[in-house]
Amino acid sequence: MRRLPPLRSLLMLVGFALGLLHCRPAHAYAWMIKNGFAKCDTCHTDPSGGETLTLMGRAQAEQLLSWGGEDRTELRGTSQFFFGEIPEPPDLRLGGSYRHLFVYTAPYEGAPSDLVSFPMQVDLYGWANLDLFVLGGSLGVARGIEGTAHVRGAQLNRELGAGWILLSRTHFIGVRLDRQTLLRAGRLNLPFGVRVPEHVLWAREATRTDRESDQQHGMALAYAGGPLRLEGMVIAGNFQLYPDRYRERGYALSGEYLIGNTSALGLSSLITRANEDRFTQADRAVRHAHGLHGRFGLSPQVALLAEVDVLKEGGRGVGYTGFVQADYEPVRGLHLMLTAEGLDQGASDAGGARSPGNGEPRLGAWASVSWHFFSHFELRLDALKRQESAFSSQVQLHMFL
Amino acid sequence: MHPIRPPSRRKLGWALCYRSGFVLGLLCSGGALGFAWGKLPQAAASENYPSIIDLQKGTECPRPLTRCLICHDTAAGGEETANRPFAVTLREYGLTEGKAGRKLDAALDALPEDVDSDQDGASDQTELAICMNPSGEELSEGPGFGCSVQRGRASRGSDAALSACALGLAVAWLLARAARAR
Repeated sequence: MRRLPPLRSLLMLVGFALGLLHCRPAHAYAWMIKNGFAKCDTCHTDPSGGETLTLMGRAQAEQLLSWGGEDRTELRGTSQFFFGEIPEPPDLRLGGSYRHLFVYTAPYEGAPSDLVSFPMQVDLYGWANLDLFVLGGSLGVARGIEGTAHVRGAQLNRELGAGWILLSRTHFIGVRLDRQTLLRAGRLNLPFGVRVPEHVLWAREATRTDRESDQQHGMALAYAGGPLRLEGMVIAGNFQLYPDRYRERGYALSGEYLIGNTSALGLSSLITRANEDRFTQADRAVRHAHGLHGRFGLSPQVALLAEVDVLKEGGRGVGYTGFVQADYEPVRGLHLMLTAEGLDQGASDAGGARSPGNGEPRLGAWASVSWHFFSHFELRLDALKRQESAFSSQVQLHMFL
Repeated sequence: MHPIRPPSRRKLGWALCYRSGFVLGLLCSGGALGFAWGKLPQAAASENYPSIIDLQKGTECPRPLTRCLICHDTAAGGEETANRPFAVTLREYGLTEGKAGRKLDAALDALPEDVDSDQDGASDQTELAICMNPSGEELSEGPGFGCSVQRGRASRGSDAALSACALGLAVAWLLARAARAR
């Protein structure tokens, strides 16, 4: 096993000790709050969480995230980037994710069952600290997504058919104004709600704030100090789609306040306007989403996440969406999760019959098992039933570098 | 957690074997997944309805994603959003669920020539044959995807936004630098 340079080992230890002393935190796995990790920038380079890990994040991924981590008295070399095979330069943090998904859909109202498989994410990402500046981004590939309007929002090349598509979900440059404040410009995750990995959760889909492809270009100011975490973004539009009339402009902001070592309450707000909505083709489309969220560590084994958002978009009445997710970790690295969600996008102004999700409540439920069976690996099973949709189950293998 | 300690030579030997095996295992797993990727049917709009319509009508209509709006409220799709007039009509002819390309094919075959879902005077079959929308107002071209370097009148807003971002960053850098100097 390669020995890490003493300076890096020392930095890692100091980081870890400071983390324990100050209960400074992480997420993207937002349930980490039950371990006293309420803020995101301890384990992730992004102040609002997700993707690239800090050295502290690497250590936590080994001890708090992985199966058997509580028994580990030494930090293994394999916990590092690319299993320790490629050393990271001191000011550069690297990462990558491969998620392969198998989805089985049960027969429903005459439709036959269906089994599909596809790589959901094939990305590399990184973050560089250059004196006061930071530079970061992601680069990935996808194939056969010509029919998915949503994913293609992150497309870089002009491929039209079923060929390989190059994706960049984020890319930005930033400047640290002080230790707690970071200003960034580029393509960024929208600060809104609970940053969960389940990107198809209605709360993420209906507010268009997932980390899959809903990022937008703009400028964001993030602050994380004391019990407060804030990020506000001026949205300039998604410059990876054209022409300009489809680009949304406006703002998104999210704030969270710690009300204890393991509990936080937050609020989010988003208003955008596009000359034409890229999904519905509504003219002069103004979109609102405003909501409250909370993360609660009820015990070292149990976390509760919740979010409720009010929605309003052109051509529809007021709607809402939300979810509650309970996460129980009976042994380190094994998570049993139950999620309930609801959606009503509001009745169409054009009239017509109301249906679940369109003027009437639509409900859904997930039962999930997530097993971080080895450092860098996660196996996840989801059983999902939504009103007006077939029962489906998913198996996901996730490997991160 | 304790600091990383240098392993003994014996341990190093085992570690090397372990790591070689691990990396080999990783490569094999990657290969197996790649094989599965190639062999199993792909998701992502598993049944490409606009292509099926094109095939049946002998058309090559542009921007197929926009044509999702013939049946759906949103180009993002989803069974529960298939509420447009033509989707309601096709239900009467057997297309009662999503991901059913053959049923769409059969429903289009069974659709009489004179049915006019949006009551605009042109039958659904006629509108489909000339890349028009049988569900109502004509669809716009829809967005294109990928980086655009085209310039023109429409890009004034984007230029302003980009300039504001660049200016903001420069000002922030100057302020941070000044604060640091103090």
